[in-house]
Amino acid sequence: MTQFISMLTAALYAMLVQNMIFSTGYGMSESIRMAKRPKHLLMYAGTVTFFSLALSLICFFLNRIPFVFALETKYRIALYTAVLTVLYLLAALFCLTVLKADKKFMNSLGMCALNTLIIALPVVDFKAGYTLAETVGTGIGAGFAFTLSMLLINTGMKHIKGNRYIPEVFRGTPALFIYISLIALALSCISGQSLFV
Amino acid sequence: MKKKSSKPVLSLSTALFKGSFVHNPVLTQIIGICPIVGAATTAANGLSLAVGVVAVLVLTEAVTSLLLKKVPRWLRMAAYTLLSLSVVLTCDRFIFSLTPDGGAGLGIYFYLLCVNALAVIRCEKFACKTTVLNAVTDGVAAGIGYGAVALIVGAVRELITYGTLFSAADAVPRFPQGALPFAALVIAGFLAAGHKWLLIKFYPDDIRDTFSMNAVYEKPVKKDPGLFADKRKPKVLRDYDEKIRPRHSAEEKEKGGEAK
Repeated sequence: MTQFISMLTAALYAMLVQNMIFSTGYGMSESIRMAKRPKHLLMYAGTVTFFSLALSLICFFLNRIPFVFALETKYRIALYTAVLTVLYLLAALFCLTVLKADKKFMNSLGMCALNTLIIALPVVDFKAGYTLAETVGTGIGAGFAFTLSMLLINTGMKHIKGNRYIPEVFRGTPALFIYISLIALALSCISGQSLFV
Repeated sequence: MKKKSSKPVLSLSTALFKGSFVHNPVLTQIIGICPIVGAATTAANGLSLAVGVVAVLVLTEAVTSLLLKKVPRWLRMAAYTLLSLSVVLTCDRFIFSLTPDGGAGLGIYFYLLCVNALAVIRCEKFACKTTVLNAVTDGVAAGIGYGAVALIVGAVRELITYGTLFSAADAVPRFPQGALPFAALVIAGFLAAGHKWLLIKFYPDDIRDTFSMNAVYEKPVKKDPGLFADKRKPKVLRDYDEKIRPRHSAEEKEKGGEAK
């Protein structure tokens, strides 16, 4: 039960309190690009969650090896990137041969797998010294954080889209930047950052 | 059948200008903003990111154009990551020497350039369909555009946070909240607006805003109707303009005529 609670806490922390996309910027451009296609939202969410969880778990067990535990950050990230690349290639091969995935899915698979959020997650886990349950929690939480960010950005895009009150030069990308900054500001406050003291 | 010419359509200077300024990858498409949001907290960090991105883009695009044209896309994606990783691991010491704190402020963000979306997109959209020279030019142009935004965002954040420029290592933060992600996004938003204003004024035919879809995102009107133009006025004010004001002015004219 304690393990389950700590897993849940880590997941909620990664998703809401310190949303990994808005509070650190990891995977932000991917989530913005994916938010433009709401039809595929579930597929993106599932794929990102799978990769974040799988890489976190693999790296957690890799860190048990004394040689890996003692690695510099630079080489640690290189190792995690190599593991992720292999994981991506295996997943791509599986999708091509077993699931007979179409071209569209294969194109988005790379974007879902090879992004900053997925690589940064095991580094964050290692630095925070998370247990197995917490690692699983952050893996799932990061996937949900990504989904939440896609939903929020997509909703924002819809509202910005029909708004005639936005000055002309702010329409499109500038308005989207400001909208995302407001969400990031709100989440900074949730995580306990004092802003104007 | 005519063979396609391999000569570049644009001159080198025009290609560099258009790639870096007119079609700036950050300000028009929001590509690869993770390091800008997370690490461009000082001008020196912004400069380091700029150099890193140019190095990653040039090498990745050149190798893609040279070797990876016939490789399937899903395999190319993995190749981009490994290529970028090799660049980042090779040039990190030189790039960290550009920052007064030896790269401590960049954290893991610099190494995360190995999965930066900008390299993947430029390689997929351009490098794998063109010559090496064109690919390198595109890499330099996109890198300069990205780097310029990183540098400006870093410089403004440093000014807000420390009140210094290129010397934040020893300074005590006056407003530490300037280093939070939202500050970078607000600055980038205003930069994007300024960029759009310049494009509307000088290059109206070259506007390609990725998020300019449908209504918000329609082609810019050349003559700005102003903040209080009819369409933007509340209904009460519009009614006043259409019905009451003409009546008032007619009455005033009548009064003026009687007085005369």
